[in-house]
Amino acid sequence: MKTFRFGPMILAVLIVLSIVLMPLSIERALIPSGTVKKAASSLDPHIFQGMLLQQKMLEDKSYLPIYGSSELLRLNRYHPTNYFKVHPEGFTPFLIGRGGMYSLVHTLNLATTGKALNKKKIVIILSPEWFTKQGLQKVHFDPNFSKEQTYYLMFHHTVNPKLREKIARRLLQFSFIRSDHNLATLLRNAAYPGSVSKPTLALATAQGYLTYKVLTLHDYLSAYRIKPGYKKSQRQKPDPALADKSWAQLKADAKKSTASATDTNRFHILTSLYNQHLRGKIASFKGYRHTESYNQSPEYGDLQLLLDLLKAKHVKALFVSVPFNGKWYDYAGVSKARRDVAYRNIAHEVKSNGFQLADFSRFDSKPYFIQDTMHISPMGWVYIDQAIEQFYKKN
Amino acid sequence: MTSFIPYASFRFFVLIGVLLLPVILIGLRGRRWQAYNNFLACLMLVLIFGSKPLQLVSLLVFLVWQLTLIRGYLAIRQKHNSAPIFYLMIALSVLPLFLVKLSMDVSALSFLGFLGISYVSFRSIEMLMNIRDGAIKTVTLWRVFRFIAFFPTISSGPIDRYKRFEKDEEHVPSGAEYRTLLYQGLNKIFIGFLYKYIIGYLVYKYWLGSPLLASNSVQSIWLYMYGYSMYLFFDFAGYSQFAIGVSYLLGIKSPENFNLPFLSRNMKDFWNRWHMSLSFWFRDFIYMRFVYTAVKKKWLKDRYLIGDIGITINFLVMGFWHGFLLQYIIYGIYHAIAFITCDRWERFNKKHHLIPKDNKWVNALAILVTFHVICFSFLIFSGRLNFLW
Repeated sequence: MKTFRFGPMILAVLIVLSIVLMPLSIERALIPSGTVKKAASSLDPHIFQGMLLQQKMLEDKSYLPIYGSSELLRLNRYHPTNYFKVHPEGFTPFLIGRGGMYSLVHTLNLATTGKALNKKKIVIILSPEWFTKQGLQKVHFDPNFSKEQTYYLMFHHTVNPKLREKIARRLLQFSFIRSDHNLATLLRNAAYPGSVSKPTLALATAQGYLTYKVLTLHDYLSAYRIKPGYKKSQRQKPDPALADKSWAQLKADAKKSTASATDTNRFHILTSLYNQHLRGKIASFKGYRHTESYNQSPEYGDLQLLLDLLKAKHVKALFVSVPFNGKWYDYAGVSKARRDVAYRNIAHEVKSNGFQLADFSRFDSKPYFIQDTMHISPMGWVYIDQAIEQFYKKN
Repeated sequence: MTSFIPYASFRFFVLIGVLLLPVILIGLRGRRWQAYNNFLACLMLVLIFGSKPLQLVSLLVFLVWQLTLIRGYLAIRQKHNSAPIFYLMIALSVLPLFLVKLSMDVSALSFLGFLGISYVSFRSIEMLMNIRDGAIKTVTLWRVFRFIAFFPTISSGPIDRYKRFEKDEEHVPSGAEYRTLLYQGLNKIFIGFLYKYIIGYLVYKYWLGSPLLASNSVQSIWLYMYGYSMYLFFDFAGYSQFAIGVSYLLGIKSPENFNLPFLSRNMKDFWNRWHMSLSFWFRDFIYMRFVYTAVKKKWLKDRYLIGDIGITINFLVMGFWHGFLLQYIIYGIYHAIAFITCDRWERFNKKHHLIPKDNKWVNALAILVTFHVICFSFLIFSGRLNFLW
């Protein structure tokens, strides 16, 4: 009689299952200390699309998360990460954002932070150019959409049911999300409770949960592979000389350096960028956005989801309203009156929900707050640094 | 619809695990439930190809085509044995495969084809050959269907033979026999996991994916060559283990595909160890057929020359079979040259007694040299050298 050794096979299955099904709390605890520090200014998109590192970061009182988009990658010496390194105020900025991370992306992300978000101080930078008639589009959402976070939202009831329903309904408007069969089934069930039959839901839950656990395992492993999400040329070193300067001095210095880099053209766009991409075909940009308006946009609804979530978690959030580059938008065919609609709507929405707003829309028609068509300049960062410091000290 | 590419996802393994449960339970009792097996064969085709309806349609048209050819040729063959009709049948059987391979160069044809068409074609051609030889005298359509579209091996082999398959189908294993099959099958599947999803994956990700190998320097291409050879072996041998393992669970002992190929002592040895079901198929149905016909018809006097021409045709066809791309053709020619050179050297050595055989140092050297000849062929195959031509 031959002996059959099934032991090794059973053991193999058990090992794999225990690794894949490892609870989130263990995965989070296994992340080596020091990783959060390394990740704070890395701008690695894996961090934004994961959850574990962000949860760990929020548990640590010394971090002030800043949520935004592509402007966060302009890591010049006045950028909060650099400024608060030489001029410590008791917190380290933790940067979360890259191009295309609109309010809905942040909502989904913040919905997966569990209890750690409660009463936390955070900063959110809003870009007015998000608030167009179309709002968030697949081209921006798809690369920033996190399946892992969406599954978390489906499997953990850390967000109140009404809001969860709204978020699920919004996500289902995107066809690329609907095409993920299991995820879409779970979302449909969350959006319209009772609309999915029990066996279908059970199957989607089982398959979805396995997918979700594989994703969290990836999330855990990506903590060992943090890479910068910015280009080398975008990052300057912290400048110790900034430490003892007054705000007035800093503003004057930053203004001077912004001016010298942008004063070669009437739009105050970085000379290098302007010469390379715009100068030759500037005529083709005349009026190229003339149909754009900001009075109605799905983005206002998405921002409301974000605000609702923050309210429910009693988060102390500072919103930053960044201006357009007025000169450029005039040329592009968007009048000041239309731009003011965006500023007004944003300010009204944030304030009426009881959140603080650092409103820099007054710089719309003045140069130097923006260094190209949309990104914050060194001078812009100084104003924002000041607002962050006041916000942090006061609260 | 979700796609179930064989052995490509956990989902696939869970799926076949569930669907095979009745087969296993019945098998352990020493029985076989043919109706369920037929149902499973159909269901798996739909699940494997269902997400791409075009592929499913191609497959169905293809199966009807091949079954008609086999059935039709069998009827003709029973009346008379005519060479032109036989060649016509083979040509018609190869035609779909030819068109699909041509689609690599002619994009207008790219709608054709389905996963595994070449492996399915091999089985059909083999049947036509055996019908000609009179080895197959009767067939039942269900069995031919189950043979040609045998789902565990449909995507990439191993290439089974009809007579062997028939023998396994006709013998229902006893409970004790099935227990052994079950154990061996599961064992193979687990070895497959180790090969494909652990070793193969790691080699692919950290060796082939290393940025150090990105440049076109001699060292990085050299290291890529070893890495690619390892990857090719572990990925394909792992896949083969899955396919054979699942076959076992169905009571079919699909033939082995690999036997420690990197320990081959010469090229002949290598082709007896690497992708065996393919190389044996080529040996039996291309090389042997050619040599047999050439000798019988006295095309040439020199038997060694006939053998060399046979080898050249054999590997050229194999190269074209991989795809109508230059790298595959060069790969075929390279193997023909390596094989013939090796053969000649062996004859020369036998005559002049230059290097003794059965000496462990000579063996080690032979393995090392053969290993490098093989790895270099895979480097050509990989396309990594395509920048040269």
